[in-house]
Amino acid sequence: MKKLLMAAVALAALNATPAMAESFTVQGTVNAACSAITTSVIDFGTIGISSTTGRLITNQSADTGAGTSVWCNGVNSTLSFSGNTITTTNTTSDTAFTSTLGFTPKVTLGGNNVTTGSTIGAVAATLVVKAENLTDNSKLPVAGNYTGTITVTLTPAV
Amino acid sequence: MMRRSFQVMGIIFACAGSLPAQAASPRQGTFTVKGKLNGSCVLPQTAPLTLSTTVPASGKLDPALSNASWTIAGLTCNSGSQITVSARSLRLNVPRTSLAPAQSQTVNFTAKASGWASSDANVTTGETTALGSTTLYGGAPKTQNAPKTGTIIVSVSNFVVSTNKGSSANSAKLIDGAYSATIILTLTPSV
Repeated sequence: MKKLLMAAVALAALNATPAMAESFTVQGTVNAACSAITTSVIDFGTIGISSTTGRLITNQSADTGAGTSVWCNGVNSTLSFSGNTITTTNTTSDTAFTSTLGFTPKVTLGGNNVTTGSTIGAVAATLVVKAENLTDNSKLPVAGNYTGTITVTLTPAV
Repeated sequence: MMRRSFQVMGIIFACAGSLPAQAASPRQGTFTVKGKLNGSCVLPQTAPLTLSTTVPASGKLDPALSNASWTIAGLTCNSGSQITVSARSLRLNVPRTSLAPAQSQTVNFTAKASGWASSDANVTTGETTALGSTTLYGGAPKTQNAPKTGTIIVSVSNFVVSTNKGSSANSAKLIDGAYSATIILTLTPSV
């Protein structure tokens, strides 16, 4: 009986030893990135001019319609855009005419206007690109096919 | 031994986790913007020009008619264009249906438009009877290759009394009364 008691005390002494714990840190890095931008054509169609003055009719605009889905995962990601003219290869030496028409580029992300160079953060939304307020710079626009571009840049940043 | 291995691995993971996140390259999309602008011409005066005169009892046409002209400013075509002149003969305003021999109520003439194409556009009315008609005679179109703004001068000349076949123009006498002719200027964009 005495032996049994001693063995029990020895076991209790072993159990009293402090437990050893190990904690593991789980880490990883997600780099900042933005999606590719699927482009489409912004088509004014037939550009309207006044039948009495030959000048552009005001407030003509065009856009990409439903738009395209884009994303950036960096909280400091930015969006910028450029391009504000369309031109025709038809030209004339008569200075009353112009072969270049101006427009105001605009971009919306998720339905909200975005100014060029602004921080959009981490976002996933629909991008719509617009060309608004076609202007003739107070000249008579030459007839022809006009083309130009709007370039949109998504810059990822952590 | 095992405990030491865990410690080494923990240090390795800790070092890997401490690397800052990188930013990928910017993404760019270029959207084509396009539109078509059709050719168009603007004439501030779209109504036909009217040439009017009164023939007296002498039957003599006013010689001043040959000095008549019209200056039409503010014409515009945003593309190459063609100009055409059309005209109806100078004819009694209330034409008769029959005339005595050697009488006429119709005068042919030439209308010319200068200042648009490199060569003048013109037309000569071609009535062949004394009674005449309301036929509109069209001249050959003249081409202006480039967009243009400018002024056109329309003038008239070569007034000749129209007579019936076999009659002499010199012997036909215009009946007295009010006469008029119309001249139509047409600018057509070539695009």
